[in-house]
Amino acid sequence: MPFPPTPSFSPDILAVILVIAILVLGGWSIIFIYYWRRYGMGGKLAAAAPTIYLTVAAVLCVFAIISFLAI
Amino acid sequence: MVKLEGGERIVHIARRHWFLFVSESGALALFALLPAALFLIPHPISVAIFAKQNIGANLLPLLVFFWSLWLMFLWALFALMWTDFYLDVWVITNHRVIDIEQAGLFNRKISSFRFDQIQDATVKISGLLATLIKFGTVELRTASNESFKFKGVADPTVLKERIMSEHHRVQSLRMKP
Repeated sequence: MPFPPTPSFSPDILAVILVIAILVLGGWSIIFIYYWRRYGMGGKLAAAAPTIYLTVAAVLCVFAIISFLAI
Repeated sequence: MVKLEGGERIVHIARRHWFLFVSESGALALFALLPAALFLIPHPISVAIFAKQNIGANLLPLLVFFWSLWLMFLWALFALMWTDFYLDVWVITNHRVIDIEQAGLFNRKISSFRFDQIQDATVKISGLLATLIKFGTVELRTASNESFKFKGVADPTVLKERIMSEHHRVQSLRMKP
């Protein structure tokens, strides 16, 4: 990492924050998908919801990782 | 999923009005754009502030990093709101009304009552916007003095008419010898 580490924004701390955020979102995604598979009530929108959710969540994770690597 | 009885079919599914969901989502979208306000801080001031933190050169990547984390949080919140909107329904069948109350994940209450239990149905539409785009509250009272309310439901008068027509149909069937 090119920038001099400070206590609040050192790469290690940022990496820990990133890992925690991805784990939380991942856990949340599993709960969300499970819930929609169980109670989704059918219909096109309900069937598409998990896929749309996962796609956007994955894009945001990739975005966060790329921005972390760019620091 | 709702388990239907033998010979039971769904007549109508009522949800909250889309406008209420869109307005809540709009608030989330504003929160998503909130970090962009940092770019409105005049350059010399922002440089002075962030130079103290030793992050002046990495300001933009850091902002993007925290922004993406913020978006992840908001996306999870949006999923919760969507679940609340889409799974909070009244299912009207030819036998009964099934009230599914969804409050976030893992907080789901399902009640049902038959049409012959209905004593009274009221519709309340208050406000200009509610009148124009048709949303309001439908309240049903049962013989056991229970009250079932659906706030912000789309087309409340249509919902009430559907329920009452099924109610009358069931009543007339019972009257037949």
